[in-house]
Amino acid sequence: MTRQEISYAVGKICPQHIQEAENYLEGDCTLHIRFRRIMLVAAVVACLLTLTAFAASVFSAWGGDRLVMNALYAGDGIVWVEIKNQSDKELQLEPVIKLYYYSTQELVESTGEEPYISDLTIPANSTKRIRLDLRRTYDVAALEKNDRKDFYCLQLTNNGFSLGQKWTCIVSFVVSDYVTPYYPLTDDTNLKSVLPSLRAYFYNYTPDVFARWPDAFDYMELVEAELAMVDGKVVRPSSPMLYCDTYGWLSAGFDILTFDGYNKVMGRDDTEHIDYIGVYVPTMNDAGEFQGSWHIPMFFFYKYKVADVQNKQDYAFVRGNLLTFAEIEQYKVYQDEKYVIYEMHEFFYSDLRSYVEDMLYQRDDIYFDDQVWERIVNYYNYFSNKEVYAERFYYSPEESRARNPLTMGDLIEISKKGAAVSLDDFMYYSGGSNGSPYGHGIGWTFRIDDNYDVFCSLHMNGTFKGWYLIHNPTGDKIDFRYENVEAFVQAHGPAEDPYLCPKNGKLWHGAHTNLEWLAFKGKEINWTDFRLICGDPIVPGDTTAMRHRIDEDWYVEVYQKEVYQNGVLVDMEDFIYLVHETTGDKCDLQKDDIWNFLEAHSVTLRIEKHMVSN
Amino acid sequence: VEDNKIVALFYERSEQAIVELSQKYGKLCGHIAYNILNNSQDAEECVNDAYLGAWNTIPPHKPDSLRTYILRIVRNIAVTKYHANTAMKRNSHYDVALDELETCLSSPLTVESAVFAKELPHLLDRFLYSLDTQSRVMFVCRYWFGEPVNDIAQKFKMRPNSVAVRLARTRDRLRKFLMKEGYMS
Repeated sequence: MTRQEISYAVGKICPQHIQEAENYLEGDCTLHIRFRRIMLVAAVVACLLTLTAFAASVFSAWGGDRLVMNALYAGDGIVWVEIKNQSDKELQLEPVIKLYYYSTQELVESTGEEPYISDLTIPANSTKRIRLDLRRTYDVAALEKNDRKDFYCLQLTNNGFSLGQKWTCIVSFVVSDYVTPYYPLTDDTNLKSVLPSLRAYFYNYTPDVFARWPDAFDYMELVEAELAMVDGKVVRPSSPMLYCDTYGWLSAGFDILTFDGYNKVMGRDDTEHIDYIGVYVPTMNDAGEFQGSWHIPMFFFYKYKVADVQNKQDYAFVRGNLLTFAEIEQYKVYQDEKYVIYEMHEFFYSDLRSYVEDMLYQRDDIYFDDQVWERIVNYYNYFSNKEVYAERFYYSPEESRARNPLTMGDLIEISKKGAAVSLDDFMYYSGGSNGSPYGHGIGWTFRIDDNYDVFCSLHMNGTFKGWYLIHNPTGDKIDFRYENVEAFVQAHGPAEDPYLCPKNGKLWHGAHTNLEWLAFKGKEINWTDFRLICGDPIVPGDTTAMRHRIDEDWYVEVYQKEVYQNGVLVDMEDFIYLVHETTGDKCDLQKDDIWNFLEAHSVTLRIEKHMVSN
Repeated sequence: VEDNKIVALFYERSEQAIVELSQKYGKLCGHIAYNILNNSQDAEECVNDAYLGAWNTIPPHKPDSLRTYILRIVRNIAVTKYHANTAMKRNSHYDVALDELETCLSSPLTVESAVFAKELPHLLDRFLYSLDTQSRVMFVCRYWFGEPVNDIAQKFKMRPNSVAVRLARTRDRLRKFLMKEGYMS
């Protein structure tokens, strides 16, 4: 490594460290040292006093019990606190915090409201990340501004700040420039079965969809070398247009991916695509309003041609695991004359809670509470039962067309079941009023009574709100003006569904309305009556990966990457590939070439407008 | 003048912004540039280039911390100048600091140098988060600001030898950290 590389690498360290050093050097450095000594003595005295009174009943920091706490500010008033409980006793925190200035120990002025804390229980001998949402408790802008140029101390307790034990760490409310984050797995139990040479790849993960590629390339080389030594046949999975219907499940979706939720390659290389179904969790905007959703992959389907897996001693390669088909027989969930499908989530995570927390940790705009967790658990329990898949796999009726050739504002018929017309037979696509496909949002239906549903669509850019009152038996759209729908809904009363309306009768996602559902008079609502109509929110500025199937042989991959100059976002750069399904050939074409290809195949894709507008 | 007012002047395209920036942070910028270049004239030139850099990038950029922003520009320019000037006599404080890090990072690697160079900033960030505040600040002062050990010792009211030992231990920890991460053999 050259001196030049070293000095540039050091120059790129997070500005937070630089600012910390500046603040430190501007003040009296020895003050901190003296203060720390005083704190140490005070802590020892406090520990002694506390232990005398409560040693038997509460988490004890004495006798080898230890706790390590670190805090990292994620911006927008969100602080992630990592707590390592090295004792063999469970730690139960109280839902209160103290935030004070390091030098004076003066409390930071608060609104008096308690902050939202994602979790309060830290099991023995474990590490947990909890999410503090300080937005309603403190003036976040003032915290970030830090006029006093002091450090902030964050304190948690297990039994009140007067009598209980307290743990303190410094938190800096500095929003740093973007640095690719890497996180360790919370639970790595399931990695034990991964081939030893491949294990290192899975121990850390990054939420950055572009940073995952360099790691993936190294990994794929290792896999290739490893599989070359295998004495036997390693069967590649297939990607038929055979989909799992998540009908009847709100917030469940089905998709095809190369990378899993940890941004790790699921197959042996990036030409292998694995189907999954996952659960949507709500996201919030800067104002603390619900604005969209994010998808957590939960169940992973490895599909093979029946003809390819006649010998049960042949191998399947599943996320770093080399397994014979005899070994994975227990995971089989579907088989017809052409394809056999195995559901392999056990090789992706072993503890649901840890897995979900890892997924949530990747973003700071996720809303997560007991209710969301309950829904995830319900969802997990339901789809963990292999029997549910017996009737759920179906072949796409549009095999030679793009998967979602949608038209703005239209209700599109999908997988119609029988002759009856129902809202469940439709999915919805809408664009923003500016014609941009970025307006693509999530939509929900609300059953008003036997005859009417309300369909509402949320949009990430806030420029368009689609509200439809729909006659249920016919599917006719009665009115699309929001105020009329609102009046109708208010006349018909509220929904008390716990999954949709936990917030004092307001719509659960309530992003753009304060619609109250106070006196519901219609049909009793069951949450399985609802389903998420479409997902995949795309926000301007996000790095995004999209895949659009053209036919059995070809699909188009579109990536967007933010281009920065001197730390300033100057452009969104598109990467578009035409990829051959079987060979994995990747054609790095110009947009116009791809456009010509699509036209030649008579395909209308959602990316059409995006490509033209760029 | 407060930082946000200086930034506002930049946004108004008022040349007064440079004057205010210079008055407030000029000395600090010069100090860093001098630490790296060990030449007053080069340092001054470097600081002027940094002002121009700020003028060209604000707007559209609106730095949260103007001081950190300008210091980063100064350092980048100074380091570029430092490496570009191969004839420069290698006797700056920064040169010594770089020697220390080079020794720490120059062992045979298990990964390609280019990959390591790309990953190193992220690794350094993670490593710095794992340090106590005092060690972290010392490390940043020494290797980012290029401060001499004596100056750091004075600031921390410690003996220079103690600071040198602390830095050596931190480098050792960095080395072990990189080994644990699989970047060094």
